[in-house]
Amino acid sequence: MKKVLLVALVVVLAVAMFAGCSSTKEPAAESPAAEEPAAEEPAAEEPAAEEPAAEEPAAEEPAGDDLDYASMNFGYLIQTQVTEYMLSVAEGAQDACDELGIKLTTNDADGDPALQISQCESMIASGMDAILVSAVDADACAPIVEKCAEANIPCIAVTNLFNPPVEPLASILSDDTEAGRIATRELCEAIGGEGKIGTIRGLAGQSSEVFRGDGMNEVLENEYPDVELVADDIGNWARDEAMEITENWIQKYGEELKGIFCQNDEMGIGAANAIENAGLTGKIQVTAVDAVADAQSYIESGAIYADVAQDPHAQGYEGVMAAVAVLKGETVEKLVYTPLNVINKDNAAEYYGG
Amino acid sequence: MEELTKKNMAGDIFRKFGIVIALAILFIVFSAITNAFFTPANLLTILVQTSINILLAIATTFIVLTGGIDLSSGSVLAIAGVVFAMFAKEVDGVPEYPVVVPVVMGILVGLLFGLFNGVIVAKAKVAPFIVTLGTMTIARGAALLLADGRPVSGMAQGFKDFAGKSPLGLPNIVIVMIIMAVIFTFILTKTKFGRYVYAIGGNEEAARASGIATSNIKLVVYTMAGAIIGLAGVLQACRINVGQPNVGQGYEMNAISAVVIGGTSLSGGVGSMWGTLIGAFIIGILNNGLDMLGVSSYWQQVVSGAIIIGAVMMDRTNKK
Repeated sequence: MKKVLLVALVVVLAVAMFAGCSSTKEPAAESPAAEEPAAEEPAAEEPAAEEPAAEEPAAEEPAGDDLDYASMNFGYLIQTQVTEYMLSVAEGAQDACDELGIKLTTNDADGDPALQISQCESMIASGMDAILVSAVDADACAPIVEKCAEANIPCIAVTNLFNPPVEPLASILSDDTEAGRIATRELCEAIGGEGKIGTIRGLAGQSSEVFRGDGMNEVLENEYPDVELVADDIGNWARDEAMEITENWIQKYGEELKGIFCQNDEMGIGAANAIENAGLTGKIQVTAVDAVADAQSYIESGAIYADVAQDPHAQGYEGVMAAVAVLKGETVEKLVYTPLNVINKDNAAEYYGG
Repeated sequence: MEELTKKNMAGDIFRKFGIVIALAILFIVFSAITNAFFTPANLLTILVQTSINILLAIATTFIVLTGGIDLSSGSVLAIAGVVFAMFAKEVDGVPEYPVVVPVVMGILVGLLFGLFNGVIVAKAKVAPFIVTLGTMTIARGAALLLADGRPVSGMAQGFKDFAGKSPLGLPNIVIVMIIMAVIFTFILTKTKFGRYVYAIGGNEEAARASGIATSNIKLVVYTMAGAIIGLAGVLQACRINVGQPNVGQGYEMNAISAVVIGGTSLSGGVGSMWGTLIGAFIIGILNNGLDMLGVSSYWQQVVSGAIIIGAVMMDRTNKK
């Protein structure tokens, strides 16, 4: 009997905990929007919307378009909030909305396509003016685009593409193939255009893994016939796994291996650590993609020779701007690539400083 | 009766030496196929790479011997590493806290999660599979919360040096691993506590009837395992030079595999620490050797999985 009571108690507690979590989650997700009460207040009192005309965004209104930003609500369906990259995209979207005075609500799908679709449905029901989406899955999340189209709500894809034939009004992301090309080119140059290299890939089958690999293959095939890809392994985007792979390669190839292209920074840092431990820094070059904050010291010391920086902030920012353009009735580019920059020893201070 | 004993002995020999033979075969095959495998430097590399898994496997061995399981070790390793990294930060080139603080905090976090597992398993009598499955998610979420979803970097250079260097001939991580292996092999084989662990796994009711405080022993086992996992988290964070909240996914499976390949029965009571060590080395050598051969990582997964199933089948056959 005691046992039964105990189990019942645990279940009740667990349920209460989950209920507590989910009820607090909603306002938490909206909190960024709540941070700008100045923009929200006029929205609350519709007729007074003219009053805060002194405000910067409102002042722009009469200039050419008739959008009342202060009364507008945008939704952002974010794929996950646990990566630095996605947080940066969300920041970009928030910054753009802050500038215009639009209220932005962000929902985190936590990597679950089904959850993302139901979040989209709630957003449509709550009458969002536009929806940005970083799709969890290029196929499974297709209903999001379709539902938005049915509800006549502009839907803009940021950071992640949808697979054809699904077509959001615009897609704003960075070009993974090009990132792969650039990082590979940098690596080939670093090793003097000839020699053996390896590559450590991300989670097999993910679009960024596939496209960055495609870019690499293209460059190796067409531009650097004397560079030979001898080692190819999957590091699942993880530092520890890439470190192990690199340690093994060092044992196998020694200094014969001239360079490693890692498909993201975490793996690049892992490779750089292994190379440093073996005392081979500078003898085995590393290039990577992302240029996250953590990579700074590695780039500055040359342990990562070159890093391809994407611009996640711009993806969020431009996503909002594209949605606004659609609402204004302007035509928008279907596919926009945000710029890629090569970060190395010479410009790292500037990149991270600014 | 006599025949039964003989059969058991044959099984015992098979169980004990089967994996030694497997290890030897792997060694010979890899050495024969590739020159890079059997070199002192590569063997050291394997030792380093296996050290973390061995620590988790030591912890898991105790738990599995009591008839339990620990699915939370990978996540607990991650949160221990994150907490360690938060206290291991360097401000203007000077460590914020003395070396002992981050290390103790990391181990303490592991210990607390272990205690949590232990209380619910031993006192509330919830199945270990369910409890540690829950803890796995809780610890992962807590690690992500603490770290705000990003790697916790900026730890004092000394920690990275500690993990990468080998002033005593062997890499420091390996030395720590060996010390831990010796201590816990001793505890398991030479102490009353160790015998109780086996007794509980063999037949919990009988153990209780003979006056063993079974739930207290279990509580200690889970708590102790948590502390070992905490230490592993600290070492791992030193090694990768960051408190990475996403690290260690699937580590629990590697640890359980090492234990099972090492001949410890998943239903408890039967097994040994040295079997676990060999099991861990089989996994480590397999990963390293397949990399040396340049086997595609898709195939590596297939092969590793097949070996785990093979080991469990061996476990089953022995029981019949």
